[in-house]
Amino acid sequence: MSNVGGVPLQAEPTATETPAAAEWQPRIVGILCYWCSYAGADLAGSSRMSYPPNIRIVRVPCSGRADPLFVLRAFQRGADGVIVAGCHPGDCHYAEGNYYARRRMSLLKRLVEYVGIPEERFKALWVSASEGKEFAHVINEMVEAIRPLGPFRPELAERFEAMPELEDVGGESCPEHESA
Amino acid sequence: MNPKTEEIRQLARELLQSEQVATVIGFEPGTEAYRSTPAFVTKPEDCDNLIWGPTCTQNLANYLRKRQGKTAVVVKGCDARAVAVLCNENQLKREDLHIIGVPCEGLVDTCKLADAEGVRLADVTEIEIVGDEAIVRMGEQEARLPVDMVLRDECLGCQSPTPVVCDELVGEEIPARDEAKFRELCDKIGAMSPEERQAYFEEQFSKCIRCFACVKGCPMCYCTTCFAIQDKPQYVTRMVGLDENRMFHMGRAMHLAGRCVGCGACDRACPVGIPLRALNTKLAAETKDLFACVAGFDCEKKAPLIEFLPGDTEAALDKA
Repeated sequence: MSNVGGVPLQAEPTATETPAAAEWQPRIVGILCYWCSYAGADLAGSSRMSYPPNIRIVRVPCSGRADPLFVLRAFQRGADGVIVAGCHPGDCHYAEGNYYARRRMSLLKRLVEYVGIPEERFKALWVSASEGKEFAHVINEMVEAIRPLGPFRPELAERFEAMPELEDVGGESCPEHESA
Repeated sequence: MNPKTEEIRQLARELLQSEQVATVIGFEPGTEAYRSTPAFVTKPEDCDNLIWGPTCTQNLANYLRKRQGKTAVVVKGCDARAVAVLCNENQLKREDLHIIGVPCEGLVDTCKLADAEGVRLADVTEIEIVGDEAIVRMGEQEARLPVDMVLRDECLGCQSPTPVVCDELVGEEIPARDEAKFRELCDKIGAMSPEERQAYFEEQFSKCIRCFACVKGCPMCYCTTCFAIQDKPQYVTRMVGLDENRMFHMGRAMHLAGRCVGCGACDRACPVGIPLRALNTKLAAETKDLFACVAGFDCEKKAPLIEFLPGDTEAALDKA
């Protein structure tokens, strides 16, 4: 199976069109700045706002740490969406990290769009530590926008599913966890 | 013989005789008449090997890093911009270089030439560009073709045929050409629908055999270890396939954003014909659009991704 040649992924008759496909959940990688957006996500949680559990958060010290390669790497490994968020310009804990991030992510957004990756799959924006509500809203919207698009790389999903679970691999286990 | 050839030889001879430079880097005839090869001349008597013409395709800026002693180099417009970028990235010292700038009429695309009517590539003895016409001589015969059928696409729309940074200029200045031609393929891809673009790039990226010829050919790719080769972290694994190739090409495009001078060395090097220049041209256009930065016209101005303005546009970003 290959999607080379531009066959729309969701229209392809694949093994994913089983009952499991109806329950398909997008996997989103969130690269969040520690001082603002991560705290914003934390606020959303501690304020008991609900947002979908589809986001896996990678905490970085500053949005300036978010290398464009991180985003590309996430797509390469089969992420269905990537979101990069940091402090609003002027609020950076390190004074100017997010200004660099702004330039990088602006260009990366245009590049991602140019190579035809749907723009719903990659977001770059500002979320402050007090914007828990906005964070929940953004994640909600993003998940709902990605869901109809289907998996970014169905081939990869199958490859990962075919991989053995960690416990099947065997070998020595960690002594600390043995007792547990 | 191209009239600029004699002038280049004369200049090179003087520079070597007066010991102003230790080496002159230029071009000498290749194994075929439609190709040239870089020449490293250290003795005045060898200067007669040097040539100039539309076959001098290589970007000689590639050979300037880590050289001992003062070096003279023959540069075209695009090479001069590459030298300027390398100078402001501290890869070259301007005072260690003697730049012989040659306004360039455009470079021969051997693929186009092979397909051109009335041309047998093996018989070609000389190629000359006169105005809008390319004269291809094959012994006694000659074919006169419009330049579009002979020159490389990037040359047809060259924005800097005359070197912007140089110590000496050989010949008359040549004005910039039509920018739309430079961006022709880039714009054509941009006009497709997102689905078409995805299909197009997936097909193109899938062809890549990761030979890294684009990296070797590119004057800006001077990392000791390319991110696509390194192990820790391993961004691009040894797996064959679209995902690794896309990671490589998009990562490389990001690394060249605002630094690419559009010399087309990547396109020339690619053995499977991936439109790498279109990708880099797109980012160069976006850099110009968003941050008003154009690479290689200034030895002082920094690359756009290593500096910022507090008032930069947020037009490309999302809103919460």
